Amino acid sequence: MTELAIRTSRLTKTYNGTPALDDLTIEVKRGEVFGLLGHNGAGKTTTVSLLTTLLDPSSGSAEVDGHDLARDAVRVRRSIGYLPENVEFYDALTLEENLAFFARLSGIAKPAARIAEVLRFLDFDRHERERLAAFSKGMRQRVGIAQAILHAPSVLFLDEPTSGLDPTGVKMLRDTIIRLNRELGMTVFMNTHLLAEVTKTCTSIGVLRAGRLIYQDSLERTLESFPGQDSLEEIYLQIETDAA
Amino acid sequence: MRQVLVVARHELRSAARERLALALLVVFLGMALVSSSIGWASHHTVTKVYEQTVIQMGRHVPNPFTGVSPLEITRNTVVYIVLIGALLAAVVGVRSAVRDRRSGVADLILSRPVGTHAYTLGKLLGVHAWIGIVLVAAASVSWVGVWFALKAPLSASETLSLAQFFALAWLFLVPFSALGLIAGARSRHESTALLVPILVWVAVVFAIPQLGTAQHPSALLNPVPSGASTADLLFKVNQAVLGPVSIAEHFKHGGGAILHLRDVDSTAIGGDVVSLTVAAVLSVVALTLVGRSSMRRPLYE
Repeated sequence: MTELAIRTSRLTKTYNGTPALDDLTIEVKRGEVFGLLGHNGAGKTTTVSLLTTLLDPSSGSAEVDGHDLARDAVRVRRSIGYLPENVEFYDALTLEENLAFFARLSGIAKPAARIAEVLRFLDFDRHERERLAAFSKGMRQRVGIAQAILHAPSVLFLDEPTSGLDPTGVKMLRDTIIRLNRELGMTVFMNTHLLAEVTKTCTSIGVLRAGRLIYQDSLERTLESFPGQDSLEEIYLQIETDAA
Repeated sequence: MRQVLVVARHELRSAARERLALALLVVFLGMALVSSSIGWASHHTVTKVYEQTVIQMGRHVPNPFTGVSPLEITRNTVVYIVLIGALLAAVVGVRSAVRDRRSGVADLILSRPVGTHAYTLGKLLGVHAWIGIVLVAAASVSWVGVWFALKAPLSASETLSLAQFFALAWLFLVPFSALGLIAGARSRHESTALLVPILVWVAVVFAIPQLGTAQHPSALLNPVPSGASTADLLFKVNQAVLGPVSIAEHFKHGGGAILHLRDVDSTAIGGDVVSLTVAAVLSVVALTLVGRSSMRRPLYE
C-alpha cells in the first residue's frame, strides 16, 4: 500500500479555455487531515470534484488510495467518501431509508447492521426512524458524514463541511472529523473557509489562488515558518499577499 | 444490473412518499371510475330509450348493445390515458430527476460506484414501476366498475383483454416518463424541465395526429379513427411520414381494438404494438445518452 492517500500531477481543469484549476501537483499522506484553503472561485470545489471522479480532468493525472482517476474510477469511488456542500438528501424518507440507499449503492448487501454501527459511532442512532424533513442543518451534515463513511472509505472528501452551521454544529462536526481520523484512521481532505477550524482540525494545509497551488506544508511547520504572525488567518493573508 | 435495481427500488420508495406521485394514483383511479360511470350512464340511457321504443313500437328490435363488448363501458379510459396519463407520466419523470439535482444528491450518487446508465435506467425503472402500480390499481377499479355497471363480472377472456389494454398503456407511457427524466436531467431551469415534455406531449397527442390523420375528421374528436378517408396524395405522404410517430394514435387504435370497442378495426394491432415498442426503446436509448455533467449541473428556479 502506497504511503500517499492522494497524489496529483499537473492536474488541470479548464472551462471554455479558462482554467479553473491549473497544474495542481499535490501530495497528501495517509492519516492526514488536509485543509485546502482559498478564496471563493480559487478552484477548491473543482479540485474535490476531480478527485471524487465527478469531473474529468482536462489534463494531468491523479491517484486516490493508489488508484488512477482516469483508469480506475470505480475503484476510486469505492475508496472514498464524499460530503458535498449543502446536500439535502431525501426529506420524505427516514434517516435509515436514506442511508440504506447509499449503503446499497456502495455494495453493502445488508445495510441495517452497518447503519446502526455508524449511527452509534456518530451518536445519532436515536433519529434512525425519523424523516429528514424535520432535521436541522447540523443534523443533515451528520447524515452526510454517516453516508460518507458507511462503506468504511480510506479517504474522506468534505467540501465546506462547516458552511452554515451554528457554533454547536461546528464543534460537533470538528470533533467527528478528528475521531474519524484518529479512531478509524481515515485520511480527510477538506475544503474550508474557516481558518480557526483548520487550526483545530488539520495536520497539513494547501492554499489555492486562481486555480494554482501557491502553498503546501504541514500545519506545524506553517505556524513555525511565520514567526511574526499570531494566527493562521494572518499567515493565510500573508501567503496570499506574497503570491499576488 | 444490481445497481439499476437499487436505484429503482429507491425511486419506487421515494415515489410512494411524494404528493405528486400519490396524486397520480388518485387521478388514475378517479379516471377509471369516471370512465366506468360515463360508460354505465351511456349504457343505462340507451337501454331505457330502447325499452320505451320497443313498448311504443309494439314490436321487438335488437338492443343496440347486443353483441357489444362489456369493455365498451371503459371506452373513455383510452382517451384519459392519452390526455392525462401521458402528461402525468412526464411530470413524474421530471420531478424524479429534478429532485436529485435540486437536493444535491445527484453528486453523492455519482460519487458512488454506480454507472451513469445504471442510475438513469434505475430511475426510469422505478418511476415506471410506480406507473405500473397505478395502472394495476386503475385496471382493478375498471374491472369492478364494469361489474357494478352491468351487474355481472367480466369473463376470463374479457379480464385478459382489460389487462392487455393496461399493459399497452404502460408501454405507451414509457416514452413520456423517459422524456420527463431526460428533460429533468438536462434542463438548466426547473420551469424549462417541465415545459419541454409538455410541448412534446402537445405535439405527439395533438399536432402530429392532426397532420397525419386530418383526412379522418372524426378521429380528431373520438378515441379511435374513423374508416372514411380521402385519397389525397398530400395526406398519404403525411400519413406515411408521421404515421409511425403518431404514438397516441397507435395507442388509441391498439387499445380500442384490444377492448373490442365498436367502430374499431381490430386488425393490424401488431403494427400499433411495434410502433409503441420502438418509441419506448428509442426513448430509453435517448435516456442513456444523458451525461454525468448535465445531471450535476446546478438547477435554477
